[in-house]
Amino acid sequence: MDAHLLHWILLLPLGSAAACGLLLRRRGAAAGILSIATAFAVAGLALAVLAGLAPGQTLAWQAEIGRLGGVPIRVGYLLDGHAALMLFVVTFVGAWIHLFSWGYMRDDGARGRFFGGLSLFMFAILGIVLADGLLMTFAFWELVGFCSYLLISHYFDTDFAPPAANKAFIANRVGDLGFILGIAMCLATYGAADFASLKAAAAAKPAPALLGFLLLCGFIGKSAQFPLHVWLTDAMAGPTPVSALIHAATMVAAGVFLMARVDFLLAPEVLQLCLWSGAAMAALAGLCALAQTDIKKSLAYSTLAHLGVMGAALGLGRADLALLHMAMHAFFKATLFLGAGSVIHGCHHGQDMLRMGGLASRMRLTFAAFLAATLSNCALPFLAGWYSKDAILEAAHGSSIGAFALLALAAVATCLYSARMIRLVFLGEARSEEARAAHESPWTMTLPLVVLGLGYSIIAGTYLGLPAAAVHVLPKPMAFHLGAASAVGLAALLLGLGALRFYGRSSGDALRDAAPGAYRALERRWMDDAYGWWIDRVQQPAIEVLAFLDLALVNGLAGKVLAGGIPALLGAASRRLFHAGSVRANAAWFTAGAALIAALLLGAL
Amino acid sequence: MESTTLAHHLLLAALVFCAGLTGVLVRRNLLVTYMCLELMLAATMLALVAFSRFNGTMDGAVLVFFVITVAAAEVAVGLALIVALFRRTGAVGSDRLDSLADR
Amino acid sequence: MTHALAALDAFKSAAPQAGDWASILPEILVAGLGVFALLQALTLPASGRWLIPAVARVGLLLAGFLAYQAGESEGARFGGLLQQDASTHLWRQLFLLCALLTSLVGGRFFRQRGADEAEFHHILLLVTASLMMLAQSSHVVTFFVALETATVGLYVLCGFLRRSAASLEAGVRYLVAGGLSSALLLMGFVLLHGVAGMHLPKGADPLQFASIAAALLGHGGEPLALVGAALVLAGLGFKLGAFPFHGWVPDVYQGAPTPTTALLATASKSAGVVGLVLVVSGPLAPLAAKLSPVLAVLAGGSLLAGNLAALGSSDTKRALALSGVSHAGFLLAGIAGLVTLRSQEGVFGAADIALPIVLAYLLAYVLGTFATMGALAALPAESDERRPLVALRGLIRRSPSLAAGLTLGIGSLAGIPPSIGFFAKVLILWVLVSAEAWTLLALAVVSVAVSIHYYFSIIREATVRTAPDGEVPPRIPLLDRALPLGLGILTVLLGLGSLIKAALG
Repeated sequence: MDAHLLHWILLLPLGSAAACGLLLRRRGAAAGILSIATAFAVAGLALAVLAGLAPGQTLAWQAEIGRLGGVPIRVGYLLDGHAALMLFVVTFVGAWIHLFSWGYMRDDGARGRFFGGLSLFMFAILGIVLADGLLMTFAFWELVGFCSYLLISHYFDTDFAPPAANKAFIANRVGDLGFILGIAMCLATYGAADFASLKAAAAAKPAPALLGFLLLCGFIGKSAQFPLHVWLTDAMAGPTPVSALIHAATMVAAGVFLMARVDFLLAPEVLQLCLWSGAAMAALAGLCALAQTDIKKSLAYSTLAHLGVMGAALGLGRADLALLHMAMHAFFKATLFLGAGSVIHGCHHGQDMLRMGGLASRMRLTFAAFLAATLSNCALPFLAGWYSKDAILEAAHGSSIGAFALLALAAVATCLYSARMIRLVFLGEARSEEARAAHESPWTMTLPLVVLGLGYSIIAGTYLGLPAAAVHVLPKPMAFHLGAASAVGLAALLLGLGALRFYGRSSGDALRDAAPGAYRALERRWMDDAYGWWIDRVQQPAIEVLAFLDLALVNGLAGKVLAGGIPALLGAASRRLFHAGSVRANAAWFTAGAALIAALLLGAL
Repeated sequence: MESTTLAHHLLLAALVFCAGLTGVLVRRNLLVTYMCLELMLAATMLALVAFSRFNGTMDGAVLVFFVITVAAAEVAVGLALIVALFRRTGAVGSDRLDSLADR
Repeated sequence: MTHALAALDAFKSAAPQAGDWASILPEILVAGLGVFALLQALTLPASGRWLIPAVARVGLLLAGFLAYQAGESEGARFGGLLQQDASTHLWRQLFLLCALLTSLVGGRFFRQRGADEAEFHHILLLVTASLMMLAQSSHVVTFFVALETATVGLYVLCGFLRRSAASLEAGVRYLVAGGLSSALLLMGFVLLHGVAGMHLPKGADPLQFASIAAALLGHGGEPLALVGAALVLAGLGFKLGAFPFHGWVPDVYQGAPTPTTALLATASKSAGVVGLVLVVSGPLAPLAAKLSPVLAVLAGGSLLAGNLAALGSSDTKRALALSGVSHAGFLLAGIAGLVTLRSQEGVFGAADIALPIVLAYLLAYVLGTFATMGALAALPAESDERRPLVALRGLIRRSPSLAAGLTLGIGSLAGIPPSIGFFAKVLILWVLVSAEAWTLLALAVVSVAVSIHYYFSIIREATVRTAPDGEVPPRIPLLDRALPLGLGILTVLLGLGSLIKAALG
């Protein structure tokens, strides 16, 4: 298998992005067609590469692009099993989301910019997938952050999108600081930053815990882990396909993917931290999803919960399970977001679930796909989500009962918010004019729903339709057996059925009516409040003190006295001493100078 | 003639040179200052001729002609400048030059 | 009397050889153009007077091309009156560059102030020709005559604005200082010649630099010779504007018309450098071990005196003048390093590179000075000798291109990377490190740090501070704006070029 196809996979999206951004800014249709065609071409190429890759085979390529001093700068690809799975998910899901965007963004005035951004994002995320070292990963990592900034702020003339884009970017920067320090520490400790050398070196000399923590920072920022998770829910300000592509399927998965690539660098302490913060976030975010009325925000909290599950799997030392869940989650969560997009499109861009209802009869295809993805999300046995989630629960049960309890709570919460969503959006009576006038979306939007929702959300767990090269590294598909995990899963499903009834009781939100205090506690954004408190009460006063000191010491003392006063004094003194300005004084200096030189030469001095 | 040696001539030249230099240092009238400068040049010419005579080379004497020429050019330009300044400001006192300073 | 006649015969034998005239073709061309400028002024009608500067500039370019063509040709000319080597041609090109830039800066400046452009070019060209002669002289006669011709021309250029008391005063101050220094210089040479004449075999020319060196090799310790050397150094110190011979510098730079100031700062200072280099590597070469501490004292004094005095100066031209004193210190430091290296090694090594480094420093200084002075000359001012720093306030609004040229020029003078000035300073520091002149090195570094203060106060006035509104800025012609900006950009480009070259090498 030749690596040159990988060049095409990586560079085609870049070309498309350049063409869209530079030439087709005002031709939205052309940009869309180009971008969608590129996405499908890349997906096809990726399938061709993966088909030609034998299980367990690794495809590597490396080139030196320059030297900085004596240090060679290299780029390279490393396509192993994990990367193969990620490559498939990114290109395949990405292509369908591109197609979906065509219908969803039809009335948008800035399609050229939007599709250019999508293509650039594909380029960036594929760079991370293919990179063979931390340095190249970091470069594309930053590009991914930049693209998400561009795409979240697509509606930049609104008052909510730009702050959301800033928030996402800044939160990612905080994480990236740790990441780049981690890379520096890698270089300092092992003298290399490419995965192959690092793996060999780490086998001989285990990585220090600090290195793992630093790399974990990158994961925390990109994958929206606690405490940097705050950006993900706000990022829903972008167009829905962007939410589907970036904030469900691929970008947030990049963090998980990176951790899977460098799992040999993670010390046990790091894994413990990862496990507990992941499990706790899974439970809490799942509960928070119950208190959201915006359909996309509710899904965002669901994403946070699943990222927590993936983090927990990483913490258990099961990177393979984390990646498996990443893939399954990508299929059903992309479907959920696209379904939400279809609903929003049908309801004329209304996102409030309390103003929907009864859409099942008006949008049958969307409902079918959404339902399938929801059941997969709830881990109904033999659907895609079940395979990964049950395996993770099972693994947690075997290792830490506390983490297992948290993950079980997350599973229950998942079923509850899923039932609520189905009930509020699709069942019952329509609760607004828009909902009554809702209509099914065009085929460009429903086809991706059918493929991803009715197809992959159901069958992917049995590894049907996944490339063989990737399947090889994943755990064996589970057979159904009644363990602790399945018991929890079935109980959760039953609770979900109950919730379906519970939410049918009220025309508003049943939980808010029944327990307003609990609802408000879940709705409140504690971490945002904490950040706000820190910035208002701690950081700002401290900065003001510093600003005062700066004004007094630097401006006043150093600026006025040291830089202004002392030089002026010195200048005046030396001017008075060295040239009094009179012709005769000059002549005297001349004479004295000549005498001085003569004395020096004669050795009299 | 033979009783005067090179040292005598050089001493005389040095005296004249120092007289000129003292004049430059103490006199306030620009014209006098300028005359003192010419006196210094004259002292160098005296030394040149003396060296030529006692060392038996003509070269120094040749240089004297160049010095005279240069001094003439310098005087022409210098006097013109001093006169122009006098016409403009009405002063030839070197201490009364006051249009240039750091203000 | 017979021996005197024999010496005269020897002088006759110095009659021009074939090729001697051809070797000074650039000088002949420039001097001829100078005379031609006067003829043009007499014959051309008023409408055709623009031809005068045009012809002069073309001629300067042509002379530069000839000097460039001369390449590496070397040897004694005119029976040892002149001595050419590879660096001669570089010095010539440097002086021609100074003249060309002065002509470009001065053309409109003098026309605006009612001064005669033809006369200005006439003197400028003659001064340039004599400076070029100076760079290749190897004989007291040629050295002295060339130096004095240039100096007398500069007296005139200083007092060129005859209606301005300040200009005349600058001329007179320069005259007194210059007269004194030429008397000292000449007396120095006379003493050296006398010592040489006492010890040389019959027939040798004691005014010849090489003969003086030969005599000093055995008798360098004689007090007469040492006093002579001291007086020569003092005379050249005036040309350089080095401590303690720098008293005239701020006054004359301030009062002289700005184009003349630029010429004084560049060509005249370069003349001091080339004169000093010729003297310390010619007649005074045997005294190298004694000279290097003297040069180091002069260099250190110039660095300190120039930079300290420039601090807090409120007049732009005075500040630049005093900064010029510190640049003289840097150049002297380079020469001191050169002399030290020569006296230590006795063979060519690091000393070989020191001279090109001094030349490179001068080139950087010339470009930076003309960018700055060009911008000043282009700026309208109430009177040319009053250019307070506050008058630059808000320049960035009034004329962005001039502000940019001024800023880049100052940046190069201050030695801010990546300008050429930065590399020039680094190279001089490298020479000092090679010569192990640690005290001088420390002084140089400190003086760079100090100089940032006043250089940046100029930049700050021009770019950061804003002027009161209301004034409508007069239009500044394109050439006057393009020249400083172009030179400023050139300093950066050359600096980047050096950086790339250093990175590749």
